[in-house]
Amino acid sequence: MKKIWWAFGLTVIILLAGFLYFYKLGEIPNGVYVDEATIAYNANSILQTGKDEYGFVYPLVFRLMGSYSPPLFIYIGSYLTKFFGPWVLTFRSVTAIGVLVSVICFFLLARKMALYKLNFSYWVTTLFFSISPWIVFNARLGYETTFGFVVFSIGAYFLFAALEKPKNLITATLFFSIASYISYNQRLLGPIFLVAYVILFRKIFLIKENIKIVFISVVVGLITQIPNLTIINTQAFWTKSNQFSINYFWTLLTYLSPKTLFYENPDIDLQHTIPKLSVMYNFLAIPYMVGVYHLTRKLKDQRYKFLLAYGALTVIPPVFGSPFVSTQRTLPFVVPLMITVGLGLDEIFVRIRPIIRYIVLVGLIGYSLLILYSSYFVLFPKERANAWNYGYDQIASYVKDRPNQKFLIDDTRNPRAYILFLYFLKVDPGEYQEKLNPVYRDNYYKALSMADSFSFRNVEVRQIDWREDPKRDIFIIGDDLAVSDSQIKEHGLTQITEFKDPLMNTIFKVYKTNFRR
Amino acid sequence: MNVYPPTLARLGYILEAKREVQLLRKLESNFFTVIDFKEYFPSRLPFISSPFLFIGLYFFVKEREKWKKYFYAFLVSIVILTVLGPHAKYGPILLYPFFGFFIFLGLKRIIKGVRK
Repeated sequence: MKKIWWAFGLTVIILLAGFLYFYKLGEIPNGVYVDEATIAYNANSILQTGKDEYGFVYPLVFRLMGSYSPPLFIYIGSYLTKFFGPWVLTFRSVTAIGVLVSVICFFLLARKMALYKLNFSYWVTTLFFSISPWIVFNARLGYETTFGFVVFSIGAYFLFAALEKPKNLITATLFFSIASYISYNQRLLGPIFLVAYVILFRKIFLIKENIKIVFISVVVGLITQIPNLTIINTQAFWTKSNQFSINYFWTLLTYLSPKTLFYENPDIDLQHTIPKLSVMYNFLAIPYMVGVYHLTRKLKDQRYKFLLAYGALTVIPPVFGSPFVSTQRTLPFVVPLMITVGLGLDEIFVRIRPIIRYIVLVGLIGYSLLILYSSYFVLFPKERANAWNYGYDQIASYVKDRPNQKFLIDDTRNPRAYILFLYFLKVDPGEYQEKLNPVYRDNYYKALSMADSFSFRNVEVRQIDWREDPKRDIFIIGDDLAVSDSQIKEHGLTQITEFKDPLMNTIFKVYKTNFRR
Repeated sequence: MNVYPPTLARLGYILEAKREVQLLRKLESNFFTVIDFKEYFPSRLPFISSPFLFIGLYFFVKEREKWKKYFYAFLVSIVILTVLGPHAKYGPILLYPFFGFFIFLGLKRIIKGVRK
């Protein structure tokens, strides 16, 4: 009977979370981010031609707009593209389903850790985890970072289980290894986490009975890492590692500050932020502080030690990666953070009468959903539309409707915009690969700097050359800053039309050159 | 507020313009500024003092029965700063004596630990 209630409770949470992750998934985020477009385009390219956009056959890391990303998400997406089409929605759906799995995984981990006094607290914590802005936002992204987090979380569950049954270390290693093929963050995090874990719990693992398990885990790790090891000496493998610096350590305070977590998201990239909402709901700041206090009090218990290690190891490596705060890089931190918040919630719930507990809970859930709805589903699609490349689909349609005209699209402020046009114009991958400079294909893993001009069909995407371009019979499309009033006069440009964002600000203007002048 | 669709105009008004909600937002902003570590490090306190402060704070909360009066005074100071705002000339000056005390407590604990 008890099991039925557990299943029922979890199903209710999954249904609510599923609704939040899938509701208007194709429309919110309002636009297509370049990372989403490049993944969708490359997955389709693999499906159609067996090569990526540069014409390289089945890469081990994908060169995406000058940077490199692990390949598994693209290969999985490539397979699904066959059935659901090469659209960003396909990839957003994969992520959303993955996050639903991570909610189950979170619940199982919390239950297995058995840190709370009340059964009620497991439900409440899982519920707030599943509807937290950090999770909802990342569940609706069509690129690899969230899926990497999902697989990593499954690995972390097995890692905790390994404290009881050390054999689980092998499964955990396998999941961490898989995660390293999905997201760059997990490629670093996995090995650091595993090594630190074995050292921390050496009394369990580095003993005669269990050393064999550690050895098998190492072998499993090495075998499954063979593809990565074959490119370990290339620049492509280490492309994002050059940003590492010890000087960034103090940004740790920013990551852990209640203000950052519960009030104001300081992420430098507007694309990662939700208006008027940080990564967690504001009222959870109090249980967070109570939870941190209780966590530090019981550190001799290995469950708490694991929780602290989980938190520290998921937040410290990203800290060294950049002087700026990135909530995406620290996404795995959400699991230990929420379990800690649960500790605080549990301590508070124990002290209040059940009836009050339920009333408070209903109020807090209602408040959370109202704030989430207002910030994410109403304000976010309008106020962050530009950060999400709103309007590029409209330009693509405009270009598509005029196949006999030549278009120059100025990409000064969005140097990776070309991929959006490849995606929206549905440019045939084979056709694009043929036109591309083969130097990128021939030196695929050498991290060559990105090209600054792109040409396909009737479109060129690059900066405007004010000496030559006005002499040609073309349409110039650029954002509000691309062409000044004096340039319009000097070159006799005629404005044809303009595009507006949801807040009715001009985002793009279309000009026709007066080449006969 | 005009970002909200017409059917949600009332909700928009409540969340964005209602005076009581604005007041709560102000209090929320003050509260999170007061408890934000970055508010104090390194502009008001040197980074080097942070481990002592956190250790001291931990033992202060742990032994709150022993420091009952100070504990409540600390909480009241946070409430006062939340209401008044922490952006006066000297910032959250009410908390400085407590920080001094936490650093002292942290240092004392560390020295005690080393001696053991």
